[in-house]
Amino acid sequence: MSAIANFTWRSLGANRVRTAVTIAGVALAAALLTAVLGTFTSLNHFMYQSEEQLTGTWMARATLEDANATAQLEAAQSASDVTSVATVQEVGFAALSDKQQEYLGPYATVLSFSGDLQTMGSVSPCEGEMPDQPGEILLFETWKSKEGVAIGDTITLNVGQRELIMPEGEEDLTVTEQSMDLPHAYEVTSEGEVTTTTYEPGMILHGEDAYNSSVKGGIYDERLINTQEHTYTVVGFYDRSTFAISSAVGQSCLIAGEIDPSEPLQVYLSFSGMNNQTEVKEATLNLFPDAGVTLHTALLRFMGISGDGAIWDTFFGLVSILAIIIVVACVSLIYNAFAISLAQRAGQFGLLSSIGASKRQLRRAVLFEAGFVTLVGVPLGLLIGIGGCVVTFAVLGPDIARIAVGEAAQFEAHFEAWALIFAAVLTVLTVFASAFLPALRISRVSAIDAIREAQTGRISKRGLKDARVSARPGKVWKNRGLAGQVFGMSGQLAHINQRRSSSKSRAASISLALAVVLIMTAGSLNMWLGSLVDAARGSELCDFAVSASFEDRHADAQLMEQYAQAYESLASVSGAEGVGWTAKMPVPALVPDQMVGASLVDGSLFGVAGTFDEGVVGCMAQIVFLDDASFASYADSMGVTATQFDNVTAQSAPALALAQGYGNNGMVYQLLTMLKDTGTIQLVVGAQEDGATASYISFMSTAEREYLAKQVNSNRAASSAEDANGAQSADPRDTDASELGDQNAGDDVVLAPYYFDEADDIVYLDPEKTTYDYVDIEVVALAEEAPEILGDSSGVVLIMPASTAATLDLHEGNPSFHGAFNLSPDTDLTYEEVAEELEEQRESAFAPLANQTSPDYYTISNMASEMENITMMATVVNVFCLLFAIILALIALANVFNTITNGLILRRREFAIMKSVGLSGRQFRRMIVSECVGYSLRGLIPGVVLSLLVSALLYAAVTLSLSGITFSIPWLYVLLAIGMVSVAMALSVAYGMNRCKADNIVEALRREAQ
Amino acid sequence: MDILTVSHLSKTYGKGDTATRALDDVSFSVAEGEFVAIVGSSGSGKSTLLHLMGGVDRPTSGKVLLNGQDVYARSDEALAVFRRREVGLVYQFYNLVPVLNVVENMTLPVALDGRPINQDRLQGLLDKLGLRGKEGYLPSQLSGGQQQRVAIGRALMNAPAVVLADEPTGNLDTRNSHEITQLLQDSNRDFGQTLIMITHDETIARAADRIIAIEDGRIVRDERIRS
Repeated sequence: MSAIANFTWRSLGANRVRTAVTIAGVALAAALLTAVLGTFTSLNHFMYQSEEQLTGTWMARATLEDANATAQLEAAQSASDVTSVATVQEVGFAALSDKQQEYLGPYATVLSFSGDLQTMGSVSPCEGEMPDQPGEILLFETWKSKEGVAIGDTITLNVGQRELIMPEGEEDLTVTEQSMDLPHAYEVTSEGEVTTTTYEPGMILHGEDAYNSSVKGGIYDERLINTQEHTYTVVGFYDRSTFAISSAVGQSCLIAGEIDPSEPLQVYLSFSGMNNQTEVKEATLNLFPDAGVTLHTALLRFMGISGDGAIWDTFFGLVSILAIIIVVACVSLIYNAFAISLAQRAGQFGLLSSIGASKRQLRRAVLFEAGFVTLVGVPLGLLIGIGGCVVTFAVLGPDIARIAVGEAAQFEAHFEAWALIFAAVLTVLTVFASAFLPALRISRVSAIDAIREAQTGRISKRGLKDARVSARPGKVWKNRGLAGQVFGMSGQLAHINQRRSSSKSRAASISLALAVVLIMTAGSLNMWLGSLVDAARGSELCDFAVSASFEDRHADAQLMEQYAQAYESLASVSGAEGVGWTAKMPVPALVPDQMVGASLVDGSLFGVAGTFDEGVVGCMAQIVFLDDASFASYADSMGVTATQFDNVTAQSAPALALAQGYGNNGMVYQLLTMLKDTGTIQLVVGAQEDGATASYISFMSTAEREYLAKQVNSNRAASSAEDANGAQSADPRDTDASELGDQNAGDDVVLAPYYFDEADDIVYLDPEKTTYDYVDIEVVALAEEAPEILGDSSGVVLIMPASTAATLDLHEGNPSFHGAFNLSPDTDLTYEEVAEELEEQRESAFAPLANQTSPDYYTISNMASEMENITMMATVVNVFCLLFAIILALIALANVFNTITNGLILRRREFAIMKSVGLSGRQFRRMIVSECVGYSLRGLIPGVVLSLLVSALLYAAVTLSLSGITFSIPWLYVLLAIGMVSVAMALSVAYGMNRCKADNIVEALRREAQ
Repeated sequence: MDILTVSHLSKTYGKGDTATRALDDVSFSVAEGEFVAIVGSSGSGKSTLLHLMGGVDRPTSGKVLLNGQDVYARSDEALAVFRRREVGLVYQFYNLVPVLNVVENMTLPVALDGRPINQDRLQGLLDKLGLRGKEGYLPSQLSGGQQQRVAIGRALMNAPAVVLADEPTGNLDTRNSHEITQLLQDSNRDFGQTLIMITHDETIARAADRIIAIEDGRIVRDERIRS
């Protein structure tokens, strides 16, 4: 060991705590970088694995028009950069029985394959094995579960080709593109040109959807030709249809077989040594010059074979930003540590220099120190980073995997050499960059200056001026400063020190401020993200929501009774607990002006609502029937007697209405006033024209109605001659908005009653000849809060007891059922299990209704599991935020420790001098406390202000999409941040004072003087 | 009348085998207005003795009486008050507070005591020490000799019972050395200031009333030159 190294080694040993803090800083930096890069590589690895498991390892697919390419295939197999080749070829399609078609699709698609399709195409048998002999077949799993086919059985398939034909009886018709919109096939060539093939009778179809003229919009039929009987032995089943074997017309059956040179062929390739996606494409085209090439871009991206993926860039950018923040935080810590350590030893370096140490040797001493710190810190950091990732992902991995792709692959820590090397190199560079500047500085300083600097190097320019001013007669000890006024002479000394010394005290304040900002930002992020999750959670009223509606039913006593029974039946499911049910229907309403709230006619909010007649606003209202018991308690809660709602006739009924509703005006989701007064609202429940009865009545703007009138009239004129097949009628949703002009809030509106004819075309009644039926709804009271079961709603909402439906004549009005259920607190079943139970119960629950008429739709929403996903996501985000914040806070706190302790230790001699002339222990402590208060005021206050600003910005971001949450200063986090920083400061001061006290005045004076 | 009495004073640094006896049963007295020079080779224990007299260290055994009061019977807090009021210390390396200007450094003990500054005394000292015009300078802006004058000014500002100087000229050139010694001698002669000074310089030592020689922590010679 050279003399210089020896010297440095001893000085490191003599300042163990400072060395430890520096090493800790380096280790934290390396750990954090490793963690960020490790998260990146783990995520990438996970995505790669998921992609590999879902679609296989193929990199490029070459589609050959015909397989007369044996030579090309052989060349590909022997090419040095090709790692694997697999082929898939369509053998044909086999017809299936009607029953089989229900779960297997229209045909059994028979595909032959060669090569390692198991890896390349991710085709894996869930039972048995892949076929490898001619005559063996791999089937989709339902063949076993529904057909009872077992391994070793033989099945016979009539395999042929699909030919496109005209429907029976229309063979002689020719269709042209002029007469109708014929199906097209688009193909993109490798040059990027799009070629279009129009489907015509006689064409041979491949994997595309089956053609059936009897479905709406259908033109063609198809048939199987050239069928041949094949008998296969079943060797296995698969349960996941991957990209390579998917087919739109039915589950594929895989056989091992010879390649038919006359048929199209798909070749799946993977390569080695590819750098970018263009190279993969070129390599493929080199082997198969005429082929259409498809790249497996997702897989290539996760392999690091980049294309121009913007997502990849974002991902990489994010990692870079995190890495930069870490590097900046660590540079500040390490730089501080080195700068302070060297300033402290400036005298020593001067001494070394004076006895003949060259500048190079001095620089080497600093670099030796940096080297040692790196040698210990970096491996330690890598280990901590790897350990942290392993533990974090072991805990969070399953959740992340579930959020990402539904558990296809396991999410676990995965590290790559380049990432670790990168983290290590970046840390080493950080350390040496931090050490370089101080090293340069000390090597520039002359020996005598260095010796003198030990006492004199810390006065600022401002300090010199201040010193001069304070020496004027009558001024001496007069400028006490705030600190002096509070803490007396001790405070005054602290005040002078702060005013006159160079950046040391500012460094402490800055590190305090930084620490507060980091901790607070993490806290606020957590808080506002939390409120977003709460908001999402708050909008869900229940764990499960069941909705159903049935065709040709009307709002009457029987329907309500049956809905009530269905609800009871569903609520009886084990593990479920009924919350309540409603029946809802939209009805056009005429609202007198004196009732209309400010936001109701804002067209941008609720579609069509506007002036219907003088003093009357027309809009769609929602009728909500609550079961009588629920309604009674709701009315009770509003202080309204429930019995007055029994006063129902066929033409009138009393109701409650909501005064407010939620609306999104394009900016914020907020509560808006819908109705401002009680009164009578007229509902339009029926419309007739010459015996034709409208089944639906809606509102339209006058402009829209005029446009439609033209369409309808011309349609009617043409309808007699028109072929039902492909006739397009004017559906208001299809109309081109530009023809309607801009619809503004408060526009005039008209009623538009319509029905569907036998051809399922929409027919509007003639407004001139239509007569309407009305009922009067007397709004007895306005409610501020919707009934719990209803949740947030908007527009005009009229709430009545279900029994009203028995008497009130709502004509064709057909309310839909909405049941809400919670997971019973006493059950052991999971949300998924209860959702399944409800699904099973559904059929019997609605049986009385479904027997009478056909159900329009059923839905069961498992809100709870959606919520669980949101919560899980929030947890993952929070844990990452928290880990990141903790580590950054540690760095910031280590910085605080470093600057404060070293600030004290550096002034050890100064303290000794003051003590020797009579500064008492109490005065000394008061002086230090006063200095700390100074740091805090200068550091914590700007820190808190800055972080509140950050918090406010985050709040602003959240309120862009959500109102109703009010900004509150996150006091808890303010306190937490101040607390953490104060504790760190107190510990630093305690340590620093202890170091100062450890040697008595005499020793301090003597040591520093030498 | 004796202003300072040192009796059976011992000081041991370290413990066990590594213990060094810096001062070994030293006793002597100093009369008010006396100028005592302490001489001895390096490491003889003379600085230790000075520090013990100044109340900045605590003895292992023995007593120091100043104005008849036991210095080390005081608490640490009271000792600090003692240092600001009763003694003035001058060191070889000046030991000024780097952030305080000349007058602040000189008046620091008074300010620490919370007493008003005696302006007459301050102005007189500034003139006498040749620091007029340098009142607002910080130590880093002063030469070694000037810094030492400030240190002396600080020691004298309080009119302490005794001024203790530890090789105050050890770091200075001949001219400055002479001037500093002269200043201290003047204060002794003109104000009757009791002065105890450690020195290597024969000439300075011979200017004293009395020379005490210390070797290996013991007094080997106590010689009164004049009375």
